[in-house]
Amino acid sequence: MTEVGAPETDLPQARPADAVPRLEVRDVSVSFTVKGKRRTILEGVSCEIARDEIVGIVGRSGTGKTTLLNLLGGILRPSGGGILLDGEPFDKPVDKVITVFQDYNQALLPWRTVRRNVSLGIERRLTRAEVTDRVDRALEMTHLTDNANDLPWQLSGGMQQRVQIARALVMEPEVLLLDEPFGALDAMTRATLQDDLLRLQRETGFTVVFITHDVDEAVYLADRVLVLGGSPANVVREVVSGLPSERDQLDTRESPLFTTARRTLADELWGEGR
Amino acid sequence: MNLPGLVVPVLLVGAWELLVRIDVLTFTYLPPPSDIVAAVGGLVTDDDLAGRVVHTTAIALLAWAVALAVALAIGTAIGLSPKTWRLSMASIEVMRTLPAVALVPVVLLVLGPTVRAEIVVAAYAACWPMLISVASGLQGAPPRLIDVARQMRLSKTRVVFSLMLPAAAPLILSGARLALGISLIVVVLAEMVGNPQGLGAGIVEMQMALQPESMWVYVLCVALLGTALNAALLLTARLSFSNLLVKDRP
Amino acid sequence: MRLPGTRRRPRSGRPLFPPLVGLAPLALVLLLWQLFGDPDSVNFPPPGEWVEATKAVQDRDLLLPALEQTLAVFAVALVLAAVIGAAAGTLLGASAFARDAFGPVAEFLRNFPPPAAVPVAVLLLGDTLTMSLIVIVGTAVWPIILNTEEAVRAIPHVRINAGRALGLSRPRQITTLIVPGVLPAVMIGVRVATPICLIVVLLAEMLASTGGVGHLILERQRMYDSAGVFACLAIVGVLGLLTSATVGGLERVMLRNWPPSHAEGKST
Repeated sequence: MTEVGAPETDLPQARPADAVPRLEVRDVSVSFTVKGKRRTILEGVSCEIARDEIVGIVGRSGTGKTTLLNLLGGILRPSGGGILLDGEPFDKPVDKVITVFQDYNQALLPWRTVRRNVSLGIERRLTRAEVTDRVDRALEMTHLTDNANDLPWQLSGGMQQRVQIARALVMEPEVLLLDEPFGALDAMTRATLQDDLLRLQRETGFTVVFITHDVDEAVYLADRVLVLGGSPANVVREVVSGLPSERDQLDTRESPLFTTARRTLADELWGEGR
Repeated sequence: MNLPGLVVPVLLVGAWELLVRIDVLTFTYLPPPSDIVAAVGGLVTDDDLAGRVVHTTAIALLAWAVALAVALAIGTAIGLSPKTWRLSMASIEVMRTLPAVALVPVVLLVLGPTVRAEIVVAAYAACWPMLISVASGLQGAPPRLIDVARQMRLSKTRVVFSLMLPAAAPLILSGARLALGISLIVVVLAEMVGNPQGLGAGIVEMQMALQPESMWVYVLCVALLGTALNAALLLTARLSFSNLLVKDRP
Repeated sequence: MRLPGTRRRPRSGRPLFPPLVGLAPLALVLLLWQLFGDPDSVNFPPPGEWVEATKAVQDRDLLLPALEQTLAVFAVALVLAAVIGAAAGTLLGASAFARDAFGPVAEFLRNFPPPAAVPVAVLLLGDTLTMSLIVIVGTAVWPIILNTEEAVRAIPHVRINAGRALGLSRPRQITTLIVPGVLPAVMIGVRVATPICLIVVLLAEMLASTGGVGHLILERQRMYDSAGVFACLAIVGVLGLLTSATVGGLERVMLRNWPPSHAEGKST
């Protein structure tokens, strides 16, 4: 399946073929009341995300990308519709779905060492030996073993973000949600972490949903990119790049599949009459 | 409009009045608020309330002005020269932690119960927060700003007066506010234990005379005076240096 | 290959005290005073006389009990102020309604001059230690309240969400995310409150007859014992240094895991 999402692609036809999707968003709406005014952020959003899939979400700022991700993570309850994980509806945070936030310096606890940050979600639930074991494995996977006893603020931004990913990994999640995970990092660090994420996904097989404002990153990481747009927002477009699962920072970015998908996304985001 | 913020004080004062009137609060010396208000008139005619307010205000402001002048001079010297800072900061730290109230008896002893003693002790106590904020404000001047000045070949004095002091303005203002509050407190204290003039002496005299209504009037006068002076200082600063204090909005 | 971001920032912090060489001017003044001061001066007895006066006061068993009382009241008041201030600050920080409702009253009380508060409290509650404690705590509590309130309001939303995403229960969110998160602010508030607390302890002792070093110093002044007054002043100065250093050291130990920027705080 190497077809690049054409403008006339209808959403139902673009659905993945799996019988039970890992995540399903079913006709979801979200509205807030701000200072007496009712604002609808999302309306009638539906989409499915398959096992082993890496899905990117892009959209102009303020379209409700983070809202959608918070719904998937159970951090926010929808005003209407429902979210299903493996066919089961849920509306509060579950261990199988863990979110990694952009603001690593706010999401990590500055007073806890890397090791104690990583163990945060499991420390009261498992025996001490199990916690140590799982934390060690997560630190190893994220190349943080040598920094286990450092404090987060002594580390660079890229390493802090890896601590956050390790903290998610110890929960042994089936779905990893990332909210602009590499947005605050420099280009070199970002490339390394992108490849780390792809490697971790291959090793553990979790589903990944991530938000990004970077079109290149969306195409490079994702199997499928959802474009969020409109007000209230909905999925206005889906782009499937068809890139092979082995990716390389240089070769992949020069391949015709990559550039075509990137062009399609850019046109959709910024409009053809730029 | 902060309605709960208005309602709560009114309710508190109302409850005070009511509870004293119906003898639930039975402190011997707690008059109801209405009696306190009623006592104001008598104090204005018989005890020169206005004169006391003027005396305390004038002394507090005078001491504050002296403190500002001294603190600006010393603070600038320390803030501009790392050498001076190294050679004097520890002494200043020691002098600063010396509780100023303990100095009131010393100054009263040396200068006697005079207006001069009030000014000296209040100015001494008030100058520390100001001195520290001037010095650290100047030390914290953005290095980029100094680079710009160097490029423009400004003279050292111009750099200090047109760049560094203005950049430190918000910090200096907060130091000046602290200093004003301290000055008033120390003046009142000196009047209470030393120089028998002004509002501080009024509080003590009325306490001794067992006239709680009158004492409350003077106590509230001091509290209102503190708030009023602070507000006046903020307003003056906003009006005169509005361009420097954008970051200082509370 | 070196992984990106393996560079580490060193741990650093605010120095506890400026260079000790800065004590030289103060030492010089005291030395000159001792060398050239008139030992019989009524107003300015040199430091040597202070030592004699201290001995004289202690011989009549006045000094140590007074010191003991002042320190005990100070410690109890500071602990009370920390606990009450942290609780009230959390409440004000967490609830916009509480801020609106009590903000103006709090602003009035915060600016209430402590010297004026002592006579009021004496008339209401009598010349007791309880009265002194109420006035002292009532004054020292404000920096702690204000710092805590600000810290509670500044807790990043993302941090709470991250905790929720990891499945932390509500009580665990409070104990692992919020309490340690506001601890630096409470400690900064306590550091600022320390000198204020000591000042008001002395003030209360001067204006009420409950004893303590404040009472002693005023008594010496009324007896025109100038060497005694200066001796008390020196003792109070050392007390101020020691209490500030103790609280500063405690703060550093408790906050050793925090980034250095947390060392700054509000002073008003």
